Amino acid sequence: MLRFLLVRLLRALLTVLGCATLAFFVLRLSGDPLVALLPTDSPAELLERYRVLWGLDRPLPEQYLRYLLALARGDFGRSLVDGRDALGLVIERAGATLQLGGTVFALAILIGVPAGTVAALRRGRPSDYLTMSAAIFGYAMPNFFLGLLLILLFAMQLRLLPSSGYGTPAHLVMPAITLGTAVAAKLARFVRTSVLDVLGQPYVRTAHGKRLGSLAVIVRHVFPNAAIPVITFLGFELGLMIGGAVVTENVFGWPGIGQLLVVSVARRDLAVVQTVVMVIAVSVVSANLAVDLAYGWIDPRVRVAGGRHAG
Amino acid sequence: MFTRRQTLGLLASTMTLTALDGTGARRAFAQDGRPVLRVAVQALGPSLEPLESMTNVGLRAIDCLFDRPLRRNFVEEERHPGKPAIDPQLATSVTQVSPLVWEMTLRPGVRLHDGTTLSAEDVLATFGPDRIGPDSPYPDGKILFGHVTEVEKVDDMTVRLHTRQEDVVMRHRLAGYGPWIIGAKAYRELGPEGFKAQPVGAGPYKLKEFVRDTRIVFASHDDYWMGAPAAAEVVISVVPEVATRVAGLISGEYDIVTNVLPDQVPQFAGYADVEAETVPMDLLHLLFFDYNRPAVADAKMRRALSFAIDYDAVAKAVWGPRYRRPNNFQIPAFGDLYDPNRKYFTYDPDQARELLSAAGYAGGEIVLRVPPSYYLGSGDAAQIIQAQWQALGINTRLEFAESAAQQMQPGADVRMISSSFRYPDPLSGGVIVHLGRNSYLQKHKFFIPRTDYNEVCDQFAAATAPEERKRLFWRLLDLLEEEAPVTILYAVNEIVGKRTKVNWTQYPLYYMDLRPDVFSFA
Repeated sequence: MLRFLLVRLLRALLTVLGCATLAFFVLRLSGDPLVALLPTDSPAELLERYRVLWGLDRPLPEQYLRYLLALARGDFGRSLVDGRDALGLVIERAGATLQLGGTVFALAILIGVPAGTVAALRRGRPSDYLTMSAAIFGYAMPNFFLGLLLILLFAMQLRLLPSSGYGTPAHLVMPAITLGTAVAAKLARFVRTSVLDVLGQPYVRTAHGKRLGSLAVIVRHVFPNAAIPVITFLGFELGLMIGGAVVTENVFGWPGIGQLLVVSVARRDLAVVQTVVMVIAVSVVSANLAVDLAYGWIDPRVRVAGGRHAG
Repeated sequence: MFTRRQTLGLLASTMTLTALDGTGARRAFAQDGRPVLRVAVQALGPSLEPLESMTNVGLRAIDCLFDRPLRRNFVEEERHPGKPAIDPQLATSVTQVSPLVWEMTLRPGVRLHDGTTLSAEDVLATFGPDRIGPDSPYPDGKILFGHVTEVEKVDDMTVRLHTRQEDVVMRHRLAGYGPWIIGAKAYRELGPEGFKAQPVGAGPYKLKEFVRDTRIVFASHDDYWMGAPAAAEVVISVVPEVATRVAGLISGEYDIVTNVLPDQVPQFAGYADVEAETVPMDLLHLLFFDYNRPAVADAKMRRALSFAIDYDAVAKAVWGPRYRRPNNFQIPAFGDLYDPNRKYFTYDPDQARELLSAAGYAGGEIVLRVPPSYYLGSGDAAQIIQAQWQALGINTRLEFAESAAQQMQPGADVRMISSSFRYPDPLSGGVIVHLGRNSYLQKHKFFIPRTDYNEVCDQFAAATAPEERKRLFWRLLDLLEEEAPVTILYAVNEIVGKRTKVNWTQYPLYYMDLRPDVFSFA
């Protein structure tokens, strides 16, 4: 088990490092950061001064080596824009991102799991079609568009909610609904398929045969067995939540990591973009690691197989 | 287990609860009864150091925090076009005592944000060698005031600026970008880095909170020398999406929103309490030709392409009916140097055809490349220009670049760039700054003068007699028409949305002037 964990951790570390390397080179090869950072009508001597100031005049391999050495010391570099510590800037945004991400997740589970289960249990009936149509609609609706529709209704017409910003629970409602309904829709479709799969299994028929109440059958037999694909899906979504809320954050002026990424990419703020990419990579990788571990906890068969593999 | 109805009910109740929380839909008031001004902007500058903030998004905040020795009077300029107007601000007078020496007398009794009183020390700190000298970390400081060799304290309220060569535009400089007076005591105690986070100036508002790329909160500087400002607080929030900014204005959450798109302006007519103001800025969008590309290496070809654009149609399509086409690299505020008859290129299809045949154009491909997400409206403009060129038989390929940097990659004949005037004199932008020997276009060998353009630039920069300056500047404009390294499309419009109760006007530069004489609530 320990070796299994170590191997997974090492693999995770390599993945993160790979992402950081890719970001490092793509950023430097896709155009002059100074042209993006300074107004285009800036005098040329200004460009040259900044190039030397930030070490961008040195050969690429040397820049990369310096970057790796700094990373090893836990130094993520400084923002080209104001010299602030890149990791500090990302952490400053983490609160807003986690608050939105957490709410979206709760909302998605609260809507997606019951909706998917109901659709599966009433398969082929109007309530199934209705739920799944709503799910497809929610999934197909672009975040950008839904966000603006909500703003139109709740901010401009009803004047119930603030159109943008961060701070009070009221600010959270529209971004959470915009993102949450999309995740809920995807989740509902996953839950429906998984539950349908399990409903056809012999042990569920047996459970019904034992005259267990339908609620007991669902909670004790259907849910645990249907959980694995759903957990996998949630793992992916959790990892993507950190950087995947870019559009929604922009529409609602939500000061999260996604917005920081957009601003920093536009400015070619090298150290900050690299750090955000690493944070996203770490979150995706750790979500996947958590999902792997959760499999073992939910399904004893995986636990046994994993143990044997490790032994 | 949840039913759908329960879930929806839960959602609905969350909304009702949070609605009570208050959305700021009403007008916000501070405790002293003065209103809070709420502004939504597309972005903020990353720093509050004045010498690092000379961008369209950075200038707004800096102009609230800091005052300058002199102040450009945009209201007066608008009233009497062609007459430069400069008022005293922190200096009561600025005079040229000898060709290389300017003397400023400071206004007595001006209180800074930290309670200190304005003195020569603050001016010395502002123009310190660490800020404008050769080793300054602020290139803009060096470019604007690098020619100041010594800042001499005559007495507590009198300072002399010694310059390397005679500076005929010093008064414009002291009223323009850069000379925002900083608090010497705070700068000394906090150091340059600390000062960025806790800036101290003599402007109408002092810093209360700054969250980078998110929000700035200013508190009224009640001891401001012009009298207490109209707003108790100014909250500037970053709302990147323009549709959201406009929605927030209409819903009553903001008093001013910036960078509205031209096609959103008609929307404002449906609401009585908000209005849109369209201001042509002292900022031009240009197309420039790459002298190294055979297709446009011949001046006749560049001139032909420049005559083949229906500028009014392009500008109207991009900016709506309120567009401005400048006359060459000039603005009326240049005063005596302004010549309204030097119009540069206008739409003249006959002349374009003539030049095309004189250049022996045989249908070769012209690649026009613009970055639509970087220059507002450039995507539309380029498509219209492509159609206009093709109508004259010019085989045009249009390319869209994702960023300004990608636009500059090799492989295009025509690209877009901007040029601005930081103060109303040709030395501030255009002929020398954006086209001269140290400009981006010449450093990157896009523009390689075939005339004595650079020599005339040097003569103009050194000239001091008004008649000589006029002669040389106009000569430069004539040379540009001959060379045609660029063609001027239009002045960029800034459209701001505001509540009708807010008395405030956007200047043709991106300052946000909230001083008591130009900003109030009705």
